[in-house]
Amino acid sequence: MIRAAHHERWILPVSLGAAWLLAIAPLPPAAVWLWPNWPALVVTYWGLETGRLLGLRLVFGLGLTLDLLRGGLLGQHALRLTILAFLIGQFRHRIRFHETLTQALAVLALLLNDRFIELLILLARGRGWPPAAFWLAPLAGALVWPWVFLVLDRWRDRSRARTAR
Amino acid sequence: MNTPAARVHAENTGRTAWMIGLGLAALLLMSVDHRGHYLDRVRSASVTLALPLYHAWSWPAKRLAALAERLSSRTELLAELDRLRARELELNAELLRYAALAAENAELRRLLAARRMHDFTAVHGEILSVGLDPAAQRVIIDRGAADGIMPGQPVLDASGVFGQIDWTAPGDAAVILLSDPDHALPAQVERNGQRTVVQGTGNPHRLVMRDLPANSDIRIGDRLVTSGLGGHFPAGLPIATIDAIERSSGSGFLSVSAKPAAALDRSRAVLVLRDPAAGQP
Repeated sequence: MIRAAHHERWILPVSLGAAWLLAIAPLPPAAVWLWPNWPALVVTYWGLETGRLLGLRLVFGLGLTLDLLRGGLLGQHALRLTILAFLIGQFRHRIRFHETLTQALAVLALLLNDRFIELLILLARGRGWPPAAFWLAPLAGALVWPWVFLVLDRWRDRSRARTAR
Repeated sequence: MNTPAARVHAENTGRTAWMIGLGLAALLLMSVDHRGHYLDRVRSASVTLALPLYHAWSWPAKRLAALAERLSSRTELLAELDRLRARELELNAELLRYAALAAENAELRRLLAARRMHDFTAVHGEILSVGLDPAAQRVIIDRGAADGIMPGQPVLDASGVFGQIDWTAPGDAAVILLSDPDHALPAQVERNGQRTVVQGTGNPHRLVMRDLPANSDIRIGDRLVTSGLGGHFPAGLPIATIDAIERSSGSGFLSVSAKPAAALDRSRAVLVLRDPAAGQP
């Protein structure tokens, strides 16, 4: 049992690392607004599945690393990811046991809320309104959510089965 | 007191308290970062740590481009070579003319006491393919302090002013784009020498000037060049072309916007101008 948990512990940092790396992927200008918010998706997965493993303080720290990595306003991702983790903590039991499609809708709502906070920060900095395509990334995120969920779930199942053997 | 319900309640209150605390901390951090350059040192230190990750993305992109080049056919390459040879000849001829003009120009500039272009030496740099925050208006290039690059140095692309060096790491440097809202560049109208300051808007296709009086002699299509004031840039580099002038009746100033000469969102290669005469800016 302890060994299984130990094995699983690798999946958390590796999946977070992959999401952080995807967040700085070089994109053609047309794809910038379509690229899903991978860090938010992975934080959502772990928040729903394990609840306590990703505490608010840890998420805040992770958000800061993302801010530094992307070179944006310091504290922006920290705020957005912490709010995301907080909301997931509040609604976890309501979202978790739904089928994937309903879950994707809940994820869409969370991602739209996240984008809305980003918009507020942009406006507060006097950067003006982003193009309408700004709102496409949450949709793309909700569309890839079932696959993110499946891939991470399968991976955890397999590592659990391997250690049980 | 220690019932499960009470425990859950206490846990929730704790979470909410942490959320508020961390939220305030984030807001404080953002406003400090937005106000000034207090966190620049933190940022350049952390980006130095992140550079391997940037290169991790940039390397395959570069390899892919190299592969595409290798796969292009021999005839295409020969045609390219012919084109480049012809271009070199043209440039050589132009260079001869330039040498004579430069001597004449140096004489005139000495009279005006402006910075001379040939005081500067250029370093070629390539922009790393990495997706930074679009609101940050920065790119990373593969040349750094080890190549003599220092904050404040001008950065150009093939068609005009691209930006300025923001901070440096030993092997890399960040360039603040001309279009960053925090970036302002002393400029003049090429046609009549009218001085102004060009500011970024966050949009790579639009720059603005807010300091031109309502009676300024300025037209759509006027070209803006660096004025050489401010010390970092040599005079006469193309910056932008004016594409809209709005006369608002209320204020005494025009609202002028211009289209940058450089391809701020597309260029892959840039030149950094080093000034051997200058120390740390």
